[in-house]
Amino acid sequence: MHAPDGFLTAGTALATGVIATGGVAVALRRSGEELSDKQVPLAGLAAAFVFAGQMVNFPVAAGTTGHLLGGALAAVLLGPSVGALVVTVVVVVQALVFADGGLTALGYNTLNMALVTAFGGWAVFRLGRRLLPATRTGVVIAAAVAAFASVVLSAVAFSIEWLLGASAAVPFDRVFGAMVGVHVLIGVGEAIITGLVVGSVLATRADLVRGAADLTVTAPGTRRGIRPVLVVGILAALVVAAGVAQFAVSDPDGLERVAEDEGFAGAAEPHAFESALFADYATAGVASESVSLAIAGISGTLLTLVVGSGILLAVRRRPEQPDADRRTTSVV
Amino acid sequence: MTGPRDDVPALVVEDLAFTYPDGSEALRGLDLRVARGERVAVLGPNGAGKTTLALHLNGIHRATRGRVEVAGLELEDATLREVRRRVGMVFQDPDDQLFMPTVREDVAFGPANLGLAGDELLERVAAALAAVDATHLAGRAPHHLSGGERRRVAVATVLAMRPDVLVLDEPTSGLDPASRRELVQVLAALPVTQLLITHDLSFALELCPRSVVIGGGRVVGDGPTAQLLLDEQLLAANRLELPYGFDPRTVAPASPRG
Amino acid sequence: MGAGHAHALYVHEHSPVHRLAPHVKIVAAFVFVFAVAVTPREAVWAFGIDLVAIATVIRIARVPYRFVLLRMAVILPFLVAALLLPLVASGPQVVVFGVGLATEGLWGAWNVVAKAGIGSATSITLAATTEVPRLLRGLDRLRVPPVLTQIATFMVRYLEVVAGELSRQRTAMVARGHDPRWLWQVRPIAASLGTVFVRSYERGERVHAAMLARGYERTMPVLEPVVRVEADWWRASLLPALGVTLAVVALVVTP
Repeated sequence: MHAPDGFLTAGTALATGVIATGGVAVALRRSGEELSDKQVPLAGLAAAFVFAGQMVNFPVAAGTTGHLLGGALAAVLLGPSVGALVVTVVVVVQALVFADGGLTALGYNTLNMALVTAFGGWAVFRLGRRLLPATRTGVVIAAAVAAFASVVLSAVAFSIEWLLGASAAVPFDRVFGAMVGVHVLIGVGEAIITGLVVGSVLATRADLVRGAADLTVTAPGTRRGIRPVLVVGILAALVVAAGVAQFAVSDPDGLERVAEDEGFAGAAEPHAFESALFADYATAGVASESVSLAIAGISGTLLTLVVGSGILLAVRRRPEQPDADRRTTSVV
Repeated sequence: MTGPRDDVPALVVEDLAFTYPDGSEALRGLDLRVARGERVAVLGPNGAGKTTLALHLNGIHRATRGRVEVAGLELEDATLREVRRRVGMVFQDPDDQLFMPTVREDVAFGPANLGLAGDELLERVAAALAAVDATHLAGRAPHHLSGGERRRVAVATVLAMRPDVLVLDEPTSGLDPASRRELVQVLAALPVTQLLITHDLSFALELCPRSVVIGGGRVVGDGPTAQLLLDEQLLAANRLELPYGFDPRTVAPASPRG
Repeated sequence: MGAGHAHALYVHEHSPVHRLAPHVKIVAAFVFVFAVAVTPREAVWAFGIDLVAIATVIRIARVPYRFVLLRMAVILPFLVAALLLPLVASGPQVVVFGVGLATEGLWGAWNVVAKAGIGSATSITLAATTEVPRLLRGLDRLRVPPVLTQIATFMVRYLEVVAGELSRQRTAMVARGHDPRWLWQVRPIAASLGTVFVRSYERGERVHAAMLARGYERTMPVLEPVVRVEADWWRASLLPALGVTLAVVALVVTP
């Protein structure tokens, strides 16, 4: 998942860098008060935990192994904003200190591995909590489903970035099929591990599971409807879907067409601009084109819906955070 | 040392009580007085409330009842900062204490928080490291030090704040005999009031003329260390045991000033 | 892919590259890698010069080439994927696009190999010549929000401690005959992760207590005086300036 330099176009790298910076800014803002004091060393230790946790191999089948990605786990344990920041720090340090993942790839690596997994995972987790009974088992299952979804969403995000800025001629549906197919399997492992880890923390220090704060603290009336979030999320997703359609549905050279219409096709370097944003060959392959675009549209909409909901859930003001009530001292 | 007059006790703890948020009562009315320059061992089994007491001395825990006074200064919100300077806490696990990237930065962390900078700060750091015989470790990363080195550097991090009272929580745990001896030498040579929290009875006898025994969140024994260690009933009641073959009567305690 | 590596890449040496101010080095590495990324893939000659340039920097830094090459193994899975591009890119589409598409795939593979290779060599050089605390201070000077660099500082400090706890638990499990081969045997590993999370959290609380005990009041003290680094900027700009020049020339001459 730590993509190196050159996998996507420089323009995509820049664009995802801007989006990722925005996402980190949202997380920083939301977690500002929490992180101002004692949470900073705590977040550092949590980051060390996620980093070290990624190095633990677990068996998958017949001796093959996988490892944890940890975005959804961090969100469930620490809350979406702190979780997103913690995994962001892990990804950035891996690139800078351990040369794992390219420097220009930091934008999409942070976006896919930290922000999409933490915020997307959180949205699915909250939905799961809403549908499942408010018990430990409910929390564990919701965490597992969220972990599965976070990995698949991450793969979807990469596929869509490929659609927008592929560095080579592979049709979108193939990339999508390969990425999502592989990550469905990885997601099963992530789900099981995440669920079990959350379960084991719940058994010893339930107060440390942010996503289960309502189980340990009686905070009446803090659960507000998820409906407004869904409405806003669907609206945002529709906008994205419309955008994708605008660019892509007409023909494989959608952007070129737009550029022509707008009258800057004859400008100095239309090619550089075009490959920076919309690599036209990503939708190449006439036979599969319509399927490709349908998948792109649907998955893009879904991705935006879920991640957007996660961010909205994260930034929404909650009355009386249970933080002050949580048992904060453990030094005995 | 600069500071208050000699007749003001270094430490006064009166009727201290503390209950953890989960309801467990760690301290139930504890009284303790330590004179300036004294070196006192705080003995007791695991869970007696020793560490909880330590965390009250510089206001990391705030008492449910009772009061703490450090060198004549009452611990309260307004004096928290000064009390934390006066009480140097050396925590049980040096890994918790040494959190900065290098030893030098870690030793500088405290005095820098006090507002020191530049050459003054560097001198403080150098003096503190020299006092624990760790000058050569300044540039190293804490996680690359041996257990004994870590412990001595942890002592330096609080010495750099020129404390009036040094509180060490289980300083000998996990040390090999040579590191333990080096630590004894370093502590014996430090001219500062010390509270050594331990269940290592021979360590207590070696360094501390006086000991207090804590059990059930109260002081249950207070007196000359050699005398307390002969009180079999008191030791047994508090799960304290002398090392095999160790007889306090045949051991000459180190003099208080090393 | 690519599980994290716990060993920092720093190679202890005294070289002009090691001595450069960290924030200057970070900016230089980013600009250079970005210039390489925008260089059109058809400009093979430009990548050749980029490669010679970064190899020269590695030589000046006295970092062994062997070390850099071995560490570049993290990009291998991606290179393998890239080498599949010509195959994946062919198939039914070949009928429509003819030979042109196969060439596309080859160019695509070359593009990833060249940019990922030079990019990772650059990252490795940066990490190998800059101690971790200096790297993080460099980020501070580049105005990265202090909360992030502080989290990173604590993370780097405690990474070995936490990883050590995990590996000791793993050893203890193996010592008692634990040899899982299937996903449904994963529970003990997850339990150990849960335990280590709780321990990490509690350690975080103790670290915070230790910080409070030494007068911490929400900001980390700045211990290093800010030094003037104009000369460093000039020296460090050589590599990115070359990269940018090559990229611009290549963009102009490539049709």
